[in-house]
Amino acid sequence: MLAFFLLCCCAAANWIRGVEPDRQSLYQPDDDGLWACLGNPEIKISFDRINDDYCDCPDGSDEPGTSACSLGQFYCANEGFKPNYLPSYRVNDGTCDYDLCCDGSDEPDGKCPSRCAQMKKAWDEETAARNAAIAKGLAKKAKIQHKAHKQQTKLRYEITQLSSEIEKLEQELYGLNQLQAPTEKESAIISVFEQLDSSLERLSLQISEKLQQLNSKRHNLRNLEEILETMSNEYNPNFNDPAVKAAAQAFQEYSVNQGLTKDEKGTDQASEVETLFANLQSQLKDSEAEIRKLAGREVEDENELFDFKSTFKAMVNSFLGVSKRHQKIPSTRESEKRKKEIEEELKRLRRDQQTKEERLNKDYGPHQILMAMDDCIVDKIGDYDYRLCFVEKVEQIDRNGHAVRIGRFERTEFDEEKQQLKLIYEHGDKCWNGPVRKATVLLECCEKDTIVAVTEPEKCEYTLRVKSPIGCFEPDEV
Amino acid sequence: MRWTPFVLVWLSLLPVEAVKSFLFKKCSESGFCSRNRHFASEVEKLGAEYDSRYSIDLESLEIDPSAGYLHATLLKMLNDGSFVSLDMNMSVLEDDNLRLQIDEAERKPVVDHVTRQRFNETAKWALAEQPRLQSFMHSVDSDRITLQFHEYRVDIELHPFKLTFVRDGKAQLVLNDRNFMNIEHYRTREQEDAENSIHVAPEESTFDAYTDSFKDSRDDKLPFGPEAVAVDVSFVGAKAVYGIPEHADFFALKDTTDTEPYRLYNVDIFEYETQSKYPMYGSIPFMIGLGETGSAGVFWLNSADTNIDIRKSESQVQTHWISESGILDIVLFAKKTPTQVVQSYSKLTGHSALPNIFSLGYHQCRWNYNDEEDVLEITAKFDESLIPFDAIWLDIEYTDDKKYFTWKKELFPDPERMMDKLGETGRTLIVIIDPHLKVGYDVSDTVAEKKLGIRKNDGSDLYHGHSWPGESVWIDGMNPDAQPFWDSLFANGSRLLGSATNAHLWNDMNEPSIFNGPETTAPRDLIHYGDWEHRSVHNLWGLTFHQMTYNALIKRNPNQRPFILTRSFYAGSQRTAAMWTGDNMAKWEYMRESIPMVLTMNAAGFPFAGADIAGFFGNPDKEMQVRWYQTGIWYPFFRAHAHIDSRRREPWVAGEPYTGMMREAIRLRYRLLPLFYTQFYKHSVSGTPVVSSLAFDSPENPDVYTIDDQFFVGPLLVKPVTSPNTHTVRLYLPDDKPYYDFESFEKISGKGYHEVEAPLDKVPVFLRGGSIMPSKERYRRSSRLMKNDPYTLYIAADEGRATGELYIDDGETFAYQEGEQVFARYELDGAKITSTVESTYDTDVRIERIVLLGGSRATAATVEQGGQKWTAEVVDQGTHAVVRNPRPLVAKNWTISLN
Repeated sequence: MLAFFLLCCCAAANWIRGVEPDRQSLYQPDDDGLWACLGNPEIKISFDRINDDYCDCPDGSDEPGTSACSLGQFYCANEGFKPNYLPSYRVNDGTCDYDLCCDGSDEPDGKCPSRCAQMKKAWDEETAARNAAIAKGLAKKAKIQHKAHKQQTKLRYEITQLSSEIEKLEQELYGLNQLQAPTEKESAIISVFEQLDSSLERLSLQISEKLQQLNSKRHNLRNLEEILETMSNEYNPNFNDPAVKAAAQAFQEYSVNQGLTKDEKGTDQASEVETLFANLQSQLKDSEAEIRKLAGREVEDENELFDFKSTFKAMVNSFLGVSKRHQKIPSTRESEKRKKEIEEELKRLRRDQQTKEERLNKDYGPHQILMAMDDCIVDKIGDYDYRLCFVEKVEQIDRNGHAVRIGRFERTEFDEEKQQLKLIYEHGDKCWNGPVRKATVLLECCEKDTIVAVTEPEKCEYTLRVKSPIGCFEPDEV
Repeated sequence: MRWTPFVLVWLSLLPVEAVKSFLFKKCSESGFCSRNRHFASEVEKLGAEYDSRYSIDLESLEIDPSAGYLHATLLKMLNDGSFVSLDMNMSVLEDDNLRLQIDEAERKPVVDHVTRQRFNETAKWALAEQPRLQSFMHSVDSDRITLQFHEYRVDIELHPFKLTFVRDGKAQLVLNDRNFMNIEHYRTREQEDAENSIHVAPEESTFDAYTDSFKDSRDDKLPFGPEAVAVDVSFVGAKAVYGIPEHADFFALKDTTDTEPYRLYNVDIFEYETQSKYPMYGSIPFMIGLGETGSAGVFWLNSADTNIDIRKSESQVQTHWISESGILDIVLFAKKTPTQVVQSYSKLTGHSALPNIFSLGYHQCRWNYNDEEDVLEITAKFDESLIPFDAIWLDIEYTDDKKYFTWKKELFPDPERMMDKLGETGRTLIVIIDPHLKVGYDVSDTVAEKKLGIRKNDGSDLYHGHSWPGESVWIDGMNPDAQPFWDSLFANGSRLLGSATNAHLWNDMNEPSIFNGPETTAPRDLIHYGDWEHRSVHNLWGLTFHQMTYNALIKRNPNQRPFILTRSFYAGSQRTAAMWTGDNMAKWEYMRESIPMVLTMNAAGFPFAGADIAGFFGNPDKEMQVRWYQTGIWYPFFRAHAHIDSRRREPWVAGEPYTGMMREAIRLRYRLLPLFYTQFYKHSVSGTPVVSSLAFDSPENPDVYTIDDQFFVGPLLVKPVTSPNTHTVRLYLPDDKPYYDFESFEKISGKGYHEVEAPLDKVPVFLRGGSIMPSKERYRRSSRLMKNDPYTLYIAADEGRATGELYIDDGETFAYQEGEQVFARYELDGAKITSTVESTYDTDVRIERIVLLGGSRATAATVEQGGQKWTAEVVDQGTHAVVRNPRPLVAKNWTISLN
């Protein structure tokens, strides 16, 4: 067949090299022996200038079989496999472009023997293997999808449940609010306590925030000192910079003269807390005075006041985490107490509902499949372990078990052309000398979850190649 | 960030400051430099009252005029009137150059492990071969000796010793003109310190003669005490001096009266500054002086730490050469033009070997391409972006833990597969191999076992220092036994390169760079093969290393031209390596500086030079990146490189319109590869620069002496834009010939300045009238794939005449040395173009197009070749005319007549 074809094309006197059979008819001289460039018909050239290795047509149509035109296209018949077009700049350049021209027709005869048969065979085998892998992957993926679907249904159900619960409580609250309001005096006292309550709450928040800040600063400082200590101890001058030498020396001096944070008892926070308590005390005094004023003589029992004091104490304790946060605000009526309870409960339920809705609406990829990917995988790539928790984060863990967060799961992207799902992780730990770390996970189809490769093309911007069933797609899926 | 560079963190936190000047010795902190500057200033103060201590002992004179040399004893008078005898040899070298060598006749051994002589092997490494001498005529009388040859005369005054080199009756160079000659003869510390010591003249200083007070080199043992050599040389009639790379400075060297001297000491100068006389990675102690009536050269064959002071006046440029140790060995040149001076220097030290043609293409480097996949993806991305490139580079991270000759297997599981893949599109892999070898693996173990490394200052064991891999030893390129071991590491089938044929080398850190050493290099009292102290060989040591690599690659594949990039270099390095200007920054001033630096390398006989595009440290903005490519395509060595902390910046990263502009620039370089290759060929046979300053092009015109922001590549005059927001440039035309804008083909003419358009997408480049220039216009993925493409000739007539050349060979083997080459000379005379070819190389390549700038009224052309005759159409295109597809074979004679 091939022989016949060759014979046939050689026999045809004006068979034009590099043109596909269906387009051969476009290459015919007119009566004057001229031919018009296909894309620029206003330009007419002598027919014998086709494939004369000199570019006359801006669109390259006069040189389909040579490399003379930069925009030209060369047709490879690739008998036995798929025909293809090759850009002209790859024609007659001394290299066999088998990727597009398996028949080797892009180079002078004999230079590139055809590989179409073996490439077809390899392609078929690859395709079969790939299809088999895809089939397995897809089967696994269907299970995952099913799980994701179930989770979605469950979430939806829970959200509905929460809605009705919320509705019920709201009704009850409405009813309570309809009940008679407390006396003026009671309200005044309550409002004083409420004010106290809220200011104490603020105070408590401030304290815990400050403590947190302090602790994290201490922690950072300790980390920093550890880093510097490591550097100054283990420093071999491997990096070509005197700044390091200077830094190491400065640190040694610092550690001798200042003492390191790890040896220190944390006196600063204490004094700050003391100030906060002094403020609290004075506020307490003011409140006392006000209650006296409000109650006038009606507050006869010193014990009653004492009760207030102990309440404060309890509150303070609870703020500082001494006992469980649970205030005992004196309420003149059960209904007030119930209202508070309901409000608390509503807050909790709404928060719960919101979380569930966010989860339901978050970008978990096509058909929310990632919702079912609540597990983590760890693989060693190079010097590090990489831990990928699909819908949570990516981490890099060094030999000493120290983990750096590369990113938190943000969203997915789908590359239509490549049929590839990408997971985007952002807001990782900041790089020392660069940006905040982030990662893109490129998913490939496989039955099993594995991290195959990690690269860092840009500093602190990672690309992970990950195999997973969720990377499998039917060619026409999505 | 897999690699945890604590250091880099600290760097970034510190305020950005360039070179750490406290790391490097200033002249005042350097014993020998300080002593000699002091000496010169004392001598100068005494003026005419001063009697030089140096004179020639006439009785010792031996002259062999037919053999071309004379020998005499040079006497140095001590304080008590006694003399130290010095050996003086003077020879007239072929090419009419004069060489003077002065050595100390006798030096008593002080320590056993150091050779007692002054180091006298600099010439052995620097010169291409033992120079041939030529005969002279001479006369001797009581106060002078006179030598004569061709148009030259040498007047040697005996007391005080002074030498004048005369060409055509005019003094060109005067040696010891100012009596700064100072050869610190051997004396013990006791002798020097003695009261009324006869050894220390009143005009001398004893600063740091036996100890080094510079804080990082206090351990220097200085076993010989003071041993400097110094002399002054006046360039009579010179208006400018050039050369003595490597410095980040103007092309025309500056007066140093009130500044540091220019220092030559090969150091890894971290974050170097521009406009500076600080030493850098390499040294070529060769200087060219230029005046309207002639040009002269001084080649100071000394490889120790060297300082050069320059003083300029109306009538001359005076120089003072000071080296820490070694013998005094100097070659003087006096010619009509600076090009002749550098040609003569090149003949002496060797030409750049004709490069493997791939190495003139575009090199893509980065610290680091991470793994095999990264390398192949970058390659694919170039093809996708339709941008040609020839070589992709691997910096130190490809190794297993910085152990050279190993691969990090997780990242590069099959290097040969990768290289084969690159080879499919004609691409090359270039890997780095540095001289520091991490302790504790087979390569360094062998170096230790066979004692092939640099030794400690007591000569016992190998010296251990720190570099990238941590504790390391340094293989000593001076040791002849190191060569076979090095050969084995590169041999075919070896661990590093397997049997690949498309792998070449990068030798970095060969100053040597030693992170814990004084001035970031080796302590001066370390011991090399031959029991020479490091201080005397320092500047040439980098050469011994890359030359050893060259030899190993030749053995690996005897019929392939090796490519080696070196950071450190010395006179003679050009024979076996290309160089780049080290770790520059992504700042406009570094782009500007790259031009005078490359011009200086060309002036110093080392044309295969380039700078990192678009700045090693930092992130260039897109405009800067485009401009840097437009500048970098003219560097003979054209490579983009980036620091590990910089963002990826391959040409497609910037996006349009910037990517398109970079693509056009890179493709312009590829179109002009025939021109670059021809330029390199001409250099390889005659030593002419590849890139020429205007001063070298038009030496008779003093207006161009300080122009260093434009230059010629053959007939192309180029003025790159090296400043932001620039839309026009002031271009200087050195003559009245027509110049054609190489893009629009519009003509400008008239000696002097012209304002020309230079929007961001344009490289201001002009073809000079009177020239014929070859090109290849078809885009291919790499230079190898262009091999069979047809040529285009551009003809820019000047009064109806033009000439040009084209050199062709197989581009990669040594067959050209057997004559397999084509050298075509083109000539336009009126309406006739003639090609005269010397050729034994068989190629079917033809000429597809001739572009006639300035237009032509012809409508057809008659082509004649090999007894046959055919016609080609001539198409009028307005600004120019094109001879369409004339198709003569390029390797044969032809004529084309325009009708």
